[in-house]
Amino acid sequence: MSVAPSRRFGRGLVTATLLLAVGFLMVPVVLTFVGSFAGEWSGVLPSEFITLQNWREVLGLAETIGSQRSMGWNAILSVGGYTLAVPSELIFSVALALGGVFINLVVGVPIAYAVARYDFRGDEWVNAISVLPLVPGVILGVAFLRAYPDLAGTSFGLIVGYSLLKAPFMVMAVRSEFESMPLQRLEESARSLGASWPRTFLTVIVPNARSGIVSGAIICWTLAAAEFNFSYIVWAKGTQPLALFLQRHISNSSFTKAAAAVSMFFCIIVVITVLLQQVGSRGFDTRG
Amino acid sequence: MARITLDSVRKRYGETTAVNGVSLTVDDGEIVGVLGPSGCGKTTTLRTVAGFETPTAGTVAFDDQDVTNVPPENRNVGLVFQEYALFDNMTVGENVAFGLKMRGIAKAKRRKRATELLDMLGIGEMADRDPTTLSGGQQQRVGLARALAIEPNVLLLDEPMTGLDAKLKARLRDEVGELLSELDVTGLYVTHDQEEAMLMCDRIAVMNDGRMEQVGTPREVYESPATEFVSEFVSLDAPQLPFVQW
Repeated sequence: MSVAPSRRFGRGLVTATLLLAVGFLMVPVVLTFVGSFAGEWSGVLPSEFITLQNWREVLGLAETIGSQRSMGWNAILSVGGYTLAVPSELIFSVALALGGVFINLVVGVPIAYAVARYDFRGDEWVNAISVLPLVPGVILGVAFLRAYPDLAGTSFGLIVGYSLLKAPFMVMAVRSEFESMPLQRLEESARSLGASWPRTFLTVIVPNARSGIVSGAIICWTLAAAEFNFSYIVWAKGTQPLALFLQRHISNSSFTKAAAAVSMFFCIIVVITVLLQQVGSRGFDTRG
Repeated sequence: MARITLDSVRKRYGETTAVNGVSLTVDDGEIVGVLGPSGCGKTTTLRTVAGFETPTAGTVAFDDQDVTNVPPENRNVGLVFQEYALFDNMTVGENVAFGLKMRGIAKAKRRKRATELLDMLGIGEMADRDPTTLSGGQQQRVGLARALAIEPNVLLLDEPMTGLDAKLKARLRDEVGELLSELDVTGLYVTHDQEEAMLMCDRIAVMNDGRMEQVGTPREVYESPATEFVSEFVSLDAPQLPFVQW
């Protein structure tokens, strides 16, 4: 049996392109991760393996030169000679981005539902406005400081800003999920079976849209955590947002230390993504 | 089950009139097919009975109780849609038991009832499955079981067979038709397929342009159409109906 040439060459070509693209994208990540354990990285490739010094410095476990702050390790428990400490500042800045996601969920899901479910006067405007804050963080940051000088530099200001900046991604992800299911039919089935509207929304509509909500939350969190421009303009004092933490460790640092900071950021993103996914699949499980 | 009475129901959306003075009585235990081309107002009529549309004028009554302004969750109406509309966040069994859960019935009891219904529809072994793993015909059975579980006043079926392949449609039509008459269900069966309407329904209401053109037994509608529209609409597929036994 002969194989069609298009199939013979086509499949190979697609596979090769895919491998090349993935490889091209992955090499920097892998190299950075490997480099974070190197003592020296002055040439093309890092050398002097293996040291944990970079990670210690980034994690604030080792003394560093200059005024670079640690991640705020706070002792919460001391037993014998051992102390259990948590990087409270790191946790706080992860929570800043999560706070933005929380607002996005509370505000974005109903907006997405309204736009997907109902034809009302001005629905296109609501849709457009919910996507409007797709402006660069610098612009929103400056406008934000002008409009709400009291919120400048506060954690709440950052959280609100993140939610505004990333809301479009939540609305778009959830809306397309709503649009892909027979939303009205689901709602009417639940209502006819005796569920009130709020109950229908919470026990049927939202759980049925879970995959869109989870992916929206992951996109929003990742983008909020990496949002440098807005954070840079609005943040004044106190715990630093993740993006600023990253910048602090990249500028004025050795290559290897920057690599450790970037790798840590990767790790946090992976962990939060997995956590959001887990919460998403378990949190909506109404069985039992 | 109950007797359903629509009295001069009119529904307008701005300038357009979707339903224009429809009066219809569905007797207790009777299945009435609402037949007509798309856009004739049959789905709006059904939604009015379910309570999702409030008529601009006219009344809807279940037995002697006026339910015109009763919200859908308090009407005790079973709905079956073409799109199945199963809740993907629940198992098949939980889908069927959902209405009972809303009525505060204990878990063990609603589980038992769900299993009975699924057994009756020949898919008893699928109670713990995820509905998305079922075939179209199986999903539609689950939809039917879910609607029947609440022992509704009236069962409303909106093009339930559309989208299924011809062979399955024929089988399901026989099974479901038998089941509905066995359970003595009062039903409104909306369809654009006259063959389906004639085989499954006790009476047929032919709608066009928001009005009832004729209400009668399949035989009456077929043999003595009241208007030109009925005659054209019903006779279109008539040669395919030699198996209709009068």
